[in-house]
Amino acid sequence: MSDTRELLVQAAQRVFSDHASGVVDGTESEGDAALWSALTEAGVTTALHRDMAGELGLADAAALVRPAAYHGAAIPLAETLIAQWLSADMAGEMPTTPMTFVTSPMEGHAVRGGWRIQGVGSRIPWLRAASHVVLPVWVGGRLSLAMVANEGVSVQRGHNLAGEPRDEFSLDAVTPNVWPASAIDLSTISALGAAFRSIQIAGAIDRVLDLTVMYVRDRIQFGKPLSKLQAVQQLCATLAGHAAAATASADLALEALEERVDLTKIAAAKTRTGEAAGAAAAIAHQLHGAMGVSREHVLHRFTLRLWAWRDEYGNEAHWSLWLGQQIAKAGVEALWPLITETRGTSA
Amino acid sequence: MSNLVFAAPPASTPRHAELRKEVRSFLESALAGMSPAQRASSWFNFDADFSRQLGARGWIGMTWPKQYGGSERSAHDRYIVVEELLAAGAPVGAHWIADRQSGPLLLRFGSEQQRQTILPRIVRGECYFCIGMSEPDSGSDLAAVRTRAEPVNGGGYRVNGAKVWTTFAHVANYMILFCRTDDRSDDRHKGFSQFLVDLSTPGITVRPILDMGGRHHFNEVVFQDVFLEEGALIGERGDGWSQVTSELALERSGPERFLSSYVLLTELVRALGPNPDERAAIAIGRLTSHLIVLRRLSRSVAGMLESGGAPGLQAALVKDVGNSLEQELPEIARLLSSVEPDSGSADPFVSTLAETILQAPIYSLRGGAREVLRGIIARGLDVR
Repeated sequence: MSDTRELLVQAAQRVFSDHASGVVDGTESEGDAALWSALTEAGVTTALHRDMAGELGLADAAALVRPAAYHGAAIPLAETLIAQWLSADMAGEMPTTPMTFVTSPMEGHAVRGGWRIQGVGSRIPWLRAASHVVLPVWVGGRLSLAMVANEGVSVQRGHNLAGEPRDEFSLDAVTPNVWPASAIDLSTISALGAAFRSIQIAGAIDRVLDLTVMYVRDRIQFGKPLSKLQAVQQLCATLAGHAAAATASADLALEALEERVDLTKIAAAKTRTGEAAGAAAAIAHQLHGAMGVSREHVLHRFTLRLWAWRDEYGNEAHWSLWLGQQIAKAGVEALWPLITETRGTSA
Repeated sequence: MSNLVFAAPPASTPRHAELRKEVRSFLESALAGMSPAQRASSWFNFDADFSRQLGARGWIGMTWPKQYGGSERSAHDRYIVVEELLAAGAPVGAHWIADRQSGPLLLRFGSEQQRQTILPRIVRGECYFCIGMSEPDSGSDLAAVRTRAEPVNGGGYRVNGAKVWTTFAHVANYMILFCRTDDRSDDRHKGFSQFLVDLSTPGITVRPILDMGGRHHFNEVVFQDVFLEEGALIGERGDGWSQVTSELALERSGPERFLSSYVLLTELVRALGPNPDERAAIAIGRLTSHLIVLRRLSRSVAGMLESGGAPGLQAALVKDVGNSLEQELPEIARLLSSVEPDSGSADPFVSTLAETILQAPIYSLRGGAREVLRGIIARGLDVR
């Protein structure tokens, strides 16, 4: 981890810990404004802003969503950072407010004052809270990116399993901000979403593990803490195995964002974290008993997100299929070099 | 956040790539005659000639000091050689235990004389070891060991007892014997010692225990009034428990903990061809994702070990998660085809599937049974 990244992550962690107690039910649907402004003061929400980012790269910024997920932050941090990164080449001024992005392309054509963008976007994270939306758009058969102000647009509210905003809109707007998507294709945009969700899943699983360990140590049954029971210990160890795998997957996803966006690493990371998410949530609920499924207990804030995030930007089957087809096409001789990242080293 | 920290794996340099290339090109010719089903038993294949070839290339005892024949290479270099050997299904069984476990034990706790006489021979690939731990009444519960070495008047020890499940005792030169030297006390872990035992010593009887596939790698080793010189003691008398547990903790996170059934994956990919159906492609992609992540975890622990850390919890996790994947692999592979597993089949996928199914139960037993490991992991999490 670079020094800059470490400093920024530490700054973010301080803000998250200070605000952790302020997280209350219901913030999922509107966002935690107080947390957002504290993070903005710390420079976290503009980590990839063209005019403020300085030496930070995509991977440095992506590292921030892990502590955010660990602390259950109800804010569009991942979405804003991705939107900022996608807008690096835009001509106009980049907003410093919350933003989001769309993965499926719309249609655009030149009109007076810019480009007219038309299309439908669904399951857009945090659309209602975003001042601007970055989206891929076909202009004369060529893929471009556009930034559209989220004003006067009718937003249809929707939610994921965890109550986080997943809204839709039918867009017909004119924007001056359209630029060629030079190094970015459609699969890259989805892959960015998948990489960030993998990192978030690792953060949330870490929290689920901590909550579970704490609970089984405190909860007395049969005259002793649950943690004394071997059956409980075995489940905790299995949960830790998934947490370890998710941690390594998140690190892999970060690495995938270092230079070019590496789809193979992202496919492996989303596949493995998606699987870990379900397994970890199941064990945590089993060990928390009925308490864990109550609205009052904090566990669901993390397990609901795990169940939502694993299906966003491609579930395990989606990414496994993609990777499996690449492997089959490349042939068996390319499998070990792929696993060891040593293409070109084979004898 | 939790204490489950995994440091970034050590970075690869062009020099590492060179080494990897060298190993791959050696293996390509050295293993040309081996069938996939033979390769599937990698570290259960005893091939002294192959071990001597590796020794000649300096790929055994790679990290050991030059004064004992080693080449003082880094643990990262050794990791590369080992993972390439295992992925190719190389017959590493003859020198495996000596290189991975017994040699390092002698380096840490052995006498100067033991090191000088044994280590250079291991490095050359001509001296093989077995490990005398399990007994008829002592499997996972190592502290229940009853084999005893009694001090003899005038020096030395007399050993009586029996060891079981001793892999390659019938072909190895030496055993690292774990046994009782002092009476039981309140501390169950006290009173044990380790000995370097030349298996040609009079009074030692080795009897085969065939596995369910009819193969001979396990043995029963009976000690009847076996006399050992004073110089056979390894380390301090009574320190056997702490010596042996430090030895075990180091061998939980290597590539052998997730690559045991890898040859079957390669045969599966080969058999499925360039256009597998969706179900098969998903399975291949999923298994590969798991392997990529496990390898990252394993390399991370290797890096932490090399920089002097004590990642006992992380190492146990790698073994537990890795063994589970190793055992899941044949279960997935069989459902992607309509064949029946058959060791005698001429179809390489069919025979490799059979071999892997037969070996799979042992993956989560050797080096610490799954349930024991999970107990260790739980303690590491402070769940106790």
